[in-house]
Amino acid sequence: MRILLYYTCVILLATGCGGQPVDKAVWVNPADTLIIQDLQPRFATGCSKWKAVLYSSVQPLELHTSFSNNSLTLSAAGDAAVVEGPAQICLEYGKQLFYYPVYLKNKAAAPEIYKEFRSPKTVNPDSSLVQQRIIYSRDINCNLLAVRGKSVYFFEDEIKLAPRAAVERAVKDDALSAYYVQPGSCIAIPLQAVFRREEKIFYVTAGPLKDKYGNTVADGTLVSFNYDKAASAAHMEATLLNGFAAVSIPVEGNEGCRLLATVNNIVSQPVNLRTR
Amino acid sequence: MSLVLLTHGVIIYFTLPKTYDAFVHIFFADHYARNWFEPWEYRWYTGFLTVSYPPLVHQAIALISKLFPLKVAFCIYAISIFEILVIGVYRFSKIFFDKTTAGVAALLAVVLSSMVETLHVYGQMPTLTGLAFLLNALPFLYQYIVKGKFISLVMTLTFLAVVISSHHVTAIFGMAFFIAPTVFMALADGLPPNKQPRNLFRYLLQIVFSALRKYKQFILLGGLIISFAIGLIFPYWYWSKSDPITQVSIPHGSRDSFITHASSGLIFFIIPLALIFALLPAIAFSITRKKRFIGWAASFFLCLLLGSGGTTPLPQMLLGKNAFNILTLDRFGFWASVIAIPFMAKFICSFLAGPLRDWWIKRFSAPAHFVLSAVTGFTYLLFIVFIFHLAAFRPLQPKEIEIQPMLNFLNRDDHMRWRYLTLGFGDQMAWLSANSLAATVDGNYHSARRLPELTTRPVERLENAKFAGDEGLASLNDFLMNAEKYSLKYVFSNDRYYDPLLYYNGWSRTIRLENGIMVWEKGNISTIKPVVPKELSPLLKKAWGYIPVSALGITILLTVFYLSRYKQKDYFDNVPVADDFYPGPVICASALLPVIFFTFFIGKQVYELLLVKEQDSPQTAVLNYYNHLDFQRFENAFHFFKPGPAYTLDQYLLGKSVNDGGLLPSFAKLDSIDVKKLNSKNDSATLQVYTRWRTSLGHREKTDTLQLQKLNKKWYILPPVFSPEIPEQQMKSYTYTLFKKMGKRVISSFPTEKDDRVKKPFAVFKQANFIRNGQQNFIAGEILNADDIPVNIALKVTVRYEKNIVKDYYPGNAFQYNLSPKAASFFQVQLDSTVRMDALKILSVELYAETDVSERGYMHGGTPVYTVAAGAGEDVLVKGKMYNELTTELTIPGILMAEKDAAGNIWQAKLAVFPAAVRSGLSGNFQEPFHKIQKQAVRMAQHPITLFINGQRRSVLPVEPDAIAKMNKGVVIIPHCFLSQEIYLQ
Repeated sequence: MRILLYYTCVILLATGCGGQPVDKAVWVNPADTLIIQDLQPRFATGCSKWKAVLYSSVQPLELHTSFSNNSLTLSAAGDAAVVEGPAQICLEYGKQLFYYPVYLKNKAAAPEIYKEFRSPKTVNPDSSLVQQRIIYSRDINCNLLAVRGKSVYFFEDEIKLAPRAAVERAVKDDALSAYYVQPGSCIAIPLQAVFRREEKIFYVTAGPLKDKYGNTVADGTLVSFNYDKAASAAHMEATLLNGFAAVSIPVEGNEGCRLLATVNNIVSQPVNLRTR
Repeated sequence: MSLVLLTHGVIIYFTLPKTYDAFVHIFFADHYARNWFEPWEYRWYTGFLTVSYPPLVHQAIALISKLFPLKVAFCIYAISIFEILVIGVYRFSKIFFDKTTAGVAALLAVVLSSMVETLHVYGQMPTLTGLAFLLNALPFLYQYIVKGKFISLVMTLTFLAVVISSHHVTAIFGMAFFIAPTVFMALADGLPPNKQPRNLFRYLLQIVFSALRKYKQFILLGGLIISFAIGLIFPYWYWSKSDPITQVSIPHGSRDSFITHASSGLIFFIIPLALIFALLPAIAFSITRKKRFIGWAASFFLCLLLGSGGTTPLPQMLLGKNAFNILTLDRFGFWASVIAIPFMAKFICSFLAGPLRDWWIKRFSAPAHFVLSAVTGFTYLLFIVFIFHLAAFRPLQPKEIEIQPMLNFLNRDDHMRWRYLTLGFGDQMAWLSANSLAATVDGNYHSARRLPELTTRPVERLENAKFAGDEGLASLNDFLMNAEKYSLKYVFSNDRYYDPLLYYNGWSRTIRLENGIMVWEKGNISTIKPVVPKELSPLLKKAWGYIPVSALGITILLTVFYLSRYKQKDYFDNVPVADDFYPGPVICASALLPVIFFTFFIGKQVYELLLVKEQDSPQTAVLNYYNHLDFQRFENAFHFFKPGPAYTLDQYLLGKSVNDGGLLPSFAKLDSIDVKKLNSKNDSATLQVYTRWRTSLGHREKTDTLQLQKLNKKWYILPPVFSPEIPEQQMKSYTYTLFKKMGKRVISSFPTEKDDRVKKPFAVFKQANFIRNGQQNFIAGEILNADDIPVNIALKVTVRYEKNIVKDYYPGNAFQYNLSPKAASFFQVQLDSTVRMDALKILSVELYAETDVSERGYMHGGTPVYTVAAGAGEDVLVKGKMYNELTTELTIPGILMAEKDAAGNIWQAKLAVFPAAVRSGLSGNFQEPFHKIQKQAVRMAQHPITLFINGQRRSVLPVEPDAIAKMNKGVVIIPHCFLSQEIYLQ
């Protein structure tokens, strides 16, 4: 029982001491701007049990503390770079917190990363070739840099793309920045039907299909081949590859048919399926 | 008890996956293992309350599952309960007869067919738990009535508390069928032996007086039982009152007439009650011989009657139509078998080693007794072995499915953000649910479901919709069509029967998993929207979590306490000694019936397996031939053809492979068959066979004519003259343009970055018309994929009515959901009936299209060559050929037809599919009647349709006259075929 009483007193004393208020530590080598890699602020204080955290604009960074001769020295772990700007050193003693405003800088400038966003990423000459563009630059630590050749951090404008179907990159070597100019709809359907005696078929090709800017119409575009003879109608479908769609129509029962190819509302000139 | 381990313990892990209910209870157990105090279970039916079922069994399995895997936990629990049940039978039997008889009764319980079936075929753990504790409660109740000891009352109530917490139905009906007869018997045994009147009426009067004298005991007992029944599972009663079941009655085999549905009778009546029927003379004699058994006799015969289902109208008259249609009646037969156990044990005990043995030996000799006993025992054990393997002989469930590939699929790429549906899984769908946090729209506990698409139809589960006939497929169709409403995006299909329905409702095959399960996906489905759980007070949640499991804990503690402090040697000193008298005819009947019954049963099974004559008449031969065809047993079917060197199995299969295929041969089940003899001579016959097939797209009918010949007393079908259509080409080429969506290019588990997305593809409404044709209303039109990539399009019509009523409608199968670049599809979205829409008063009609990039499903195949012939009135006949220019088979050739007027306006769209597949390079004929509606229907111009594409308002393109339609009497068609080859992942 006596041992229990003893330990109770010890615990009460220990917790009681921890809760005593302390005076704000005095920063003995104050500076407005701190280089994070050279960080060594010293504080005069009689207590050793301080915790220190550096609050930058985006993240808290726990600092190392060392205490000797009534002096508390702080240092950052490693040589990690930070987001520059206003920050605060926070000294924590129990429930007491003391803040010291600073301005953070990195020791050396980091390599620039150029960012350019395009919207919409896919344009189609059937509708609009206009893109919105936003540009900014930052270093690898996410510190904004002035846009090249301009004295602003963000640059935004509208650009009109050339009507050339292609996959382009807004930023070189960045596949994710790719944007796409699609081909538009075809304007005409050249149609030919050739009788292949040995295969007993009419080999029908539609193409090359081009849009109004001369781009080859997109692969996979559905071409409908409608041919009719007397009262019967036939509907055959094929998809475009490299601007051409081809179908084989058996000769049997189809000689003399009138053939039309259709892509959406565009209809070809009629072709008669003849063996000679 | 060791016998239980030996007989049931070694096999239960293997019979468990084939049972009806085990996985449902495992799923509930998994719920409690994850969320003990939260009764809202979101994984089934868009959410339901687990307070809809007493929790104790599930909670107990959940507790065991903290140490063992779920399946093992279930097995441990099941065997433990079976041990308690055997003890219960022993104790229960002791209130009837002596200890030896009770011992035989306990042994009998281990191998009683009803018990074996309930455990190994049905997996009904709550029923067995309820019964196990009820049987243990009855001796205490008997003691309480006879001796009035307080400890007996306490023990009665604790055991009944477990019954109530385990299975409400056993608790409710147990009062009538078990507790009332026990009370009656206890009162009877409490009468002084010399004051028991011989007259039955006076005897009953004495019992009533005796009961009145003990009114305080009864008031206390009754009051406490009712309080327990209400209080222990109060949340259940609260739920059933505040959220009553709205489910229409679901057909169950136990309610069938067992005369017209012999298979139901076999499963639900004959097999579980086999021994009871075999020993019925002895049981009936014993149970009616003594007045103290009057209550049991009434219970036994009443249970037997109710267990006979719809064979007679009496059960429905007794239970009332409502209860009759909700309850599964096999449980009554089960209870009858339990009541009969002591009486069967009494007879068996006496016949094997008692006075009846001496009687038999005296009359028929000892060897006769030995042979009879041995053969009866042997055939009965064979019968029990048959029940153990019933699921193997008569498969009740699909083969076991490895669930890990599905779990992997659900876990990756945020697939859990949508709901899924299983098809053809049987009860294993509950096992998948128990192992995943993903949600399904289906479920396996229909009392709790509240989705109108399910509650209004007599469908047990969506996953086995094909077994529920037209209603089942209609219900499934609702979900597949209105998938957006329930965020249903994935279907795991284990049955290709559903493939046509899925495809024509806009679902695309995504991947075949390692376990052979095909995953179907629907595009443009929103992720699961938060569902507000049904309110239940925190107090009730705590009560649900604590009270039932506490009841079990208290029962165990009190039993230990009772055994150590109260158990007496003269425990059953009030039970009168029963003699072994049976009349001669009863002995003979009860001794011979079992051997006759079980020998006949086993003989019949062997006959059906090995000796059945499948070809003894032309009709039988044809019926059996079609039966084999239906189950795809082609080798068996081949043996019905006249044997000969020119027609080998190889030739038959080759013929099938080039001739068969399509909706009927590959995706249909035989619904009915009618064989008509056209002509018959001595050794030859010509039969016309009319078959009706169920497909997921509706019924199809077919008529065949078969020639048969008799050879060596067997009828054979003459092989058909095989003239296959052969394409000219030896090799065929076709250029497909396939697309690959590159998917996530940013390798990160964070939500997709904006840079990572493909834009919403462009689409254009070419036209959309609101058409009213009599009572039918629909939106018909055409939509174009205006983009350069294949798209999936989701259409939705929103009609706003007065009083803020908003209803959404989705297209069915009259639409091509996936389109190639610059391809267009007709569509038709069915709305409500004219009466309904006019009553609600339309304010506005909006048509929404959502597009998404697609990489499959945009090939619709085939070249229809057609003419349209005029018919009577507005009827026309579209007929022609479907030419297959592709390098793959058109598995289900189909066309999407639209009716256009002279100006090019679309009035209706309709899908037509044809039964036979078309092989590559060949053509198949088709003809389809089509009824034009332009003359009687009206375009509802007073309700203009507001169009939206990807959330932005759009207008229609100018409508132009269609020359092809004009040439074809206003009918235009586009191909819409299903290609089953997975290489294209259509």
